[in-house]
Amino acid sequence: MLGRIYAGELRKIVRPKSMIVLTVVLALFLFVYAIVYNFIGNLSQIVASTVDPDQTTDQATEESDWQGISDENVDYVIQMLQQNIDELEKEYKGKFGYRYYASVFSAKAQLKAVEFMKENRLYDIKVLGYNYSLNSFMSETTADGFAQDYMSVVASVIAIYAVVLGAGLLADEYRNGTVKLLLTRPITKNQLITAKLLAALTVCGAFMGIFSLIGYIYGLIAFKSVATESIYLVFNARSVIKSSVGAYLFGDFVMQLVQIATMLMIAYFLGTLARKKTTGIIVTLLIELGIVSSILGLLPIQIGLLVPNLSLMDYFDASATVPTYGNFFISLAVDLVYIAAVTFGLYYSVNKRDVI
Amino acid sequence: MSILEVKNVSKTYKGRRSRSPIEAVKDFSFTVDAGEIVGFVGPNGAGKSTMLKMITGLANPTSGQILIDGHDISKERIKALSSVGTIIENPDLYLDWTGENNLRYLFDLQNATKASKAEREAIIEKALKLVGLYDRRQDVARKYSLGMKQRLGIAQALLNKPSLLILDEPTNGLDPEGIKGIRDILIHLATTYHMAILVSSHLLAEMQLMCNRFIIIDKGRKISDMTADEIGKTAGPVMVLSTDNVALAIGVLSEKFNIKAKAADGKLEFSTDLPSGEIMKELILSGVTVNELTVKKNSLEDVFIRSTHGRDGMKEIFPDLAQKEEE
Repeated sequence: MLGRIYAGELRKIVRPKSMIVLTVVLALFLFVYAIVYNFIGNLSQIVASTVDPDQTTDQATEESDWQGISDENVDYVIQMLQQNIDELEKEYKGKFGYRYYASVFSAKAQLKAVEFMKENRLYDIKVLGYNYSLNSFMSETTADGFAQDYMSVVASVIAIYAVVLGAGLLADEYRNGTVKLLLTRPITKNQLITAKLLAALTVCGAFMGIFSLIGYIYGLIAFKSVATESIYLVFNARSVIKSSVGAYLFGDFVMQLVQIATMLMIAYFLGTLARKKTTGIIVTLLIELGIVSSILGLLPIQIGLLVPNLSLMDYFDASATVPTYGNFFISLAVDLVYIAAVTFGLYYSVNKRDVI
Repeated sequence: MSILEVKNVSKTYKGRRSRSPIEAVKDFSFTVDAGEIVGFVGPNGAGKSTMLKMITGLANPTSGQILIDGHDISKERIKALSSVGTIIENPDLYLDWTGENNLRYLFDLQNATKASKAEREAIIEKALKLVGLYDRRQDVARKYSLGMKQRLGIAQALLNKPSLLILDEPTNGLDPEGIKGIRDILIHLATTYHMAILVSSHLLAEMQLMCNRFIIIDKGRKISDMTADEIGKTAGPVMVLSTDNVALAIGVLSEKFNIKAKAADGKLEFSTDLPSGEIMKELILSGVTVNELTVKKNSLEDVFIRSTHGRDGMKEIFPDLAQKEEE
């Protein structure tokens, strides 16, 4: 029975109009990105051929990036980083909410990266976590860099679509009165909620998958791939793990999907609870765009934990700001609780309340 | 066994903030049998819609039990609802879809047993023909008139071959032709397919044309449950006498038949079970000029107004009830 309801819901979501709009928007972004990346590719070639090589090295040293670390100065860098962490803990503990924890987390991740370099005598850009993020390693003119950048755009577009779609899944049926048609059928409320959720996830997942793949295929055609190259990721500011660019990209894709699904769930719950699509959309975006977390995060108490960073991939990189306590497992647990609460709230409220 | 059994159902809405809880339906019981068209009447806010929502599983009763074909709707929702067809309030449809596609979609939602595509199409065709929309099946529902939407609503309610049909205000906003169309369909369904039909409406005259039984609800309580025949007979038929000698006529009626007649607008009104011919004969023999003597039956409206407005009116129609109250 669930299959039949699911098929019907899928038919409702896959309306020609919204599908065409979504496809056109995503194709347009692909086009724009392709132009920009080709331009950057050409530009970097021109720069490389005109700039004096000695000067480049000097600049790099001044910026004290990975190129500046060597056997001679590694102990000094470690000492500086440790001093930095000590200062942070001494001066800012208990202030700035989760931003304090994020700063400490980031500094610790950098320290871990440099310690790893020293141990393995591997002073390489491939060790992520020290001033360099994956993006700069993959550079703008690799297939993987292009794929990752385009994927993040696809994910953002789909995430907004997911919020609009999710908020209206049941709210629209309430508004049009068609919910009465559905819930006087011999089906349970749970079947309807589940079928709608699965249908929405299918459509979002399909778009995300197809367009990410298109982006990667275009990247492979236009640029060279570094997918099989090894990288070292500082995980959770504690350990260093060896991976490949391809595996990292896939992990990123999965996490983006999880984030989209979470946004869809939150919007679905809020839209249904308010029985109003716009309320669902606005509140979800306020939460997800970090506006709420930014405000809460400024408080000296740890309310920031309530609005955790769903981009769990950040914990493998340490380049991005990581809200909450900066611990992968705590964040994962909070995320799971968050999703579970929203799911429970959705099913409970629909079952408990009268339809009309 | 009755198709629908409502047993001591109550529904209390939580009051908002300081307001006290609202009891929309209080200890309500009734049954509907196969082949019956039962009219559910009551003034606005009497609890009609709340009752119908509970029967169709859209609202949960606070207490009591609702059985459809012997299945409790709170506990065996799927079994109970598989034999119910419903239209609650306005005809709600997917306006961007054709009439036919609306039915296809809803058909798939209510048949746990897998019907083949051919069977499905056959049932949909039959339903469309029954409500007279077969020629317009390819049109988008948005283009339908209110009457057509209402008829499509009935078609969707018939898809699972229900044994119980529940309609809330099915003739609301329809023109006389549309109203007649719906009435004919309902009577056809009750007589041919032996469906039990529970229908609520404000249009009392209209209800009297199609219902066999009436349940009157007011302030959440059942006021009466009587068949169409009983309605006509409450307190006997009323006779209206038009005469030039009012005083004499009152005297004759009181003396010969022990009837208390009331004068109104120069006419006399009185209730009696005696044949009008006999009364006329006696009046003329006594020298009363009879301009006109007509018999009028109690309409549902009379009963409705008297039973929902004022206790005196109620005592008049329901002496039993009045007696019970006095006890």
